[in-house]
Amino acid sequence: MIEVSDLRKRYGRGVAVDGVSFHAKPGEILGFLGPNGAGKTTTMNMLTGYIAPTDGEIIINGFNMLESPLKARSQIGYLPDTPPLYDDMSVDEYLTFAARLKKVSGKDGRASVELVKRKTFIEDVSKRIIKNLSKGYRQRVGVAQAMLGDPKAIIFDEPTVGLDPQQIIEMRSLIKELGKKRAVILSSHILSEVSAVCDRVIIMNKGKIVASGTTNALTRAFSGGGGIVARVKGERKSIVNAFESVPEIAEAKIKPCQEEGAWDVIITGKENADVRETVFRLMAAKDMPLLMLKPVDLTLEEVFLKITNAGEGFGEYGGDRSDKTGDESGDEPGGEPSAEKSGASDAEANARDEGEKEENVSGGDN
Amino acid sequence: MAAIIRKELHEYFTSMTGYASISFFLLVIGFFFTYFNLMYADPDYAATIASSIFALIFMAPFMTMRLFAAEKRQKTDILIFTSPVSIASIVVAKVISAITVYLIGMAITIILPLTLAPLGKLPVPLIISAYVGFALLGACFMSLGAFVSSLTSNQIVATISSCVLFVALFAIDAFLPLIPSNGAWSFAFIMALIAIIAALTGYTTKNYISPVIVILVAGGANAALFFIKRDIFTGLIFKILDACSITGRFSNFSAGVLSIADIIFYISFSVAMIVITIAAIEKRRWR
Repeated sequence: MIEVSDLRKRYGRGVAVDGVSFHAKPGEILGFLGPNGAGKTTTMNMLTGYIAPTDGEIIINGFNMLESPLKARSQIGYLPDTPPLYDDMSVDEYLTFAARLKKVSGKDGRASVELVKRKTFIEDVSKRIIKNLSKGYRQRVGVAQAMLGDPKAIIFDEPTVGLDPQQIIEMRSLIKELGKKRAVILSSHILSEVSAVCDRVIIMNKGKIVASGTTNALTRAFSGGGGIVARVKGERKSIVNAFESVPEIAEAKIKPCQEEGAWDVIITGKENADVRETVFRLMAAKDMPLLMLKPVDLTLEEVFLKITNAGEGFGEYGGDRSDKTGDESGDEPGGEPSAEKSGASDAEANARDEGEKEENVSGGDN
Repeated sequence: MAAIIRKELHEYFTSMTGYASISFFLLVIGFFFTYFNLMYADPDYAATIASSIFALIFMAPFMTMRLFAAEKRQKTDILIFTSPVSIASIVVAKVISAITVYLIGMAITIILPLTLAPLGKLPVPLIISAYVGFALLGACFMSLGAFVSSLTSNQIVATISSCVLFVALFAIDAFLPLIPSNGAWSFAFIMALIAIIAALTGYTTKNYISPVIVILVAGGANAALFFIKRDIFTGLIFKILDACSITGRFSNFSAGVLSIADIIFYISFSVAMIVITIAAIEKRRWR
């Protein structure tokens, strides 16, 4: 469906995208993950034909973007990072124009407009002028526009930015539904978002693909080294003491949590071993109630640190490996990087937790 | 293409742009009509049109400023340029829609000569010729304005730059009689033109070799010609500027002279502007 090989984009002397190759099949949702400036938007702009690549090949549904751009473009629906809306038009006028632009006019056009309005829940604002719409509705009108004419491939650039949690959930289920028959590519800088929606993930940094694979494989590979968080009820001192003398545990860091009389302990096993059972038995033996036990959710920065620290060891995480559990830790030379990271200031970690909270909550649903 | 024309016309007439530019134009032509044709009872309506063309200095930038600049600012250019419509048809559609609004304004003014008709014999061929020239001149200005608009994402910058450009176009005619006709000046003028072209080549190709080649070849040819056939340089600046003057040619139309050369000049000027607009947009995609 979408085949990209050795895509490059140079701006003057800088390189925005440096030799990116990937493919997406129909019925597959491909996630692009990376920090701001990683080249995600540039890649998407090239995929949709908005800007031309310096080098490389883009084939959409058999049509080469450089040789037959109009045919290739007609296979794609695109929602850029800012929805391309005309402020002075009403939603209906805008969608009708976009449908005509995509050569879906007349009866088909009207049917298509009605369908996308229903799917994106914007029927009640059809007659409103776009400039008066809230951010969430604007985003949905943008999505509706991308769905017009039932394109074979849909590309979303940061589709959930600026939406409230309810809208994020709606948007994700919409994207999942779209991904059943089409090839969908979406970009994000939030790991939990990508893992909630996508079948496969490509992680980009500085214009290059630094890791790619199925979401499960990547998540397991990266959460392995992150350790676990145990919420323990009890005195700080006795908790610290309890964890001190356990051979399986490499590091245990304690920090306050929202619940009164309880503490969060971030535990890393020796050589990233699974220490959940050890922790359970330890706490039971010491008679300290274990209120919660969960893997540390890695933020994107941490994933990046892991990838860069792991060097060449990280590459393709194929779906064929997904049956092997616990194997991934072998790919990783040592747990030092993550141990260093948990040494980051608590204030910073807390701030990050606050920011990620709604992501984690809604991510957990899926 | 039809989708874009419809959208542009819709935007012209749902915002004040279309109405304001047509009103301004009607105001100017109405003023001259009242002054020349009514107060002085002169049937020469073509002269009224000829006097009104300066309205284009303000009207054309106002009408064309948003064509591309606004799309870029509100990032809707992504929608248009990723749709299955070629850049060429997008540009043509936008210029056509601006010209359409202009022609609507022009069509309204046909009422003016018609009110004169019962009062005496109207010079009909003269008026038709003036209207043809007027429509073609408008096409030139709209396509030039569209080009300027494609260079920036700021509508104010687009308006002011095209205004300045249009004033300069009108000013060429005013300064023509003052231009020195001696050969040395012409030689220097051609050299300056070659230098400008060389600078532009250097800027677009981003290397130092091509402008040097341009200067050596074209400048050498110019110098050689100057020493071999010096007499062709006499009055050359005047000839070049006169040939390039858009507004200067309009006097032929308003004098009732419908020449193929003038019509082709106007049409090819508009086409050239559309082509370089397409090139400018294409170039931005590749940069």
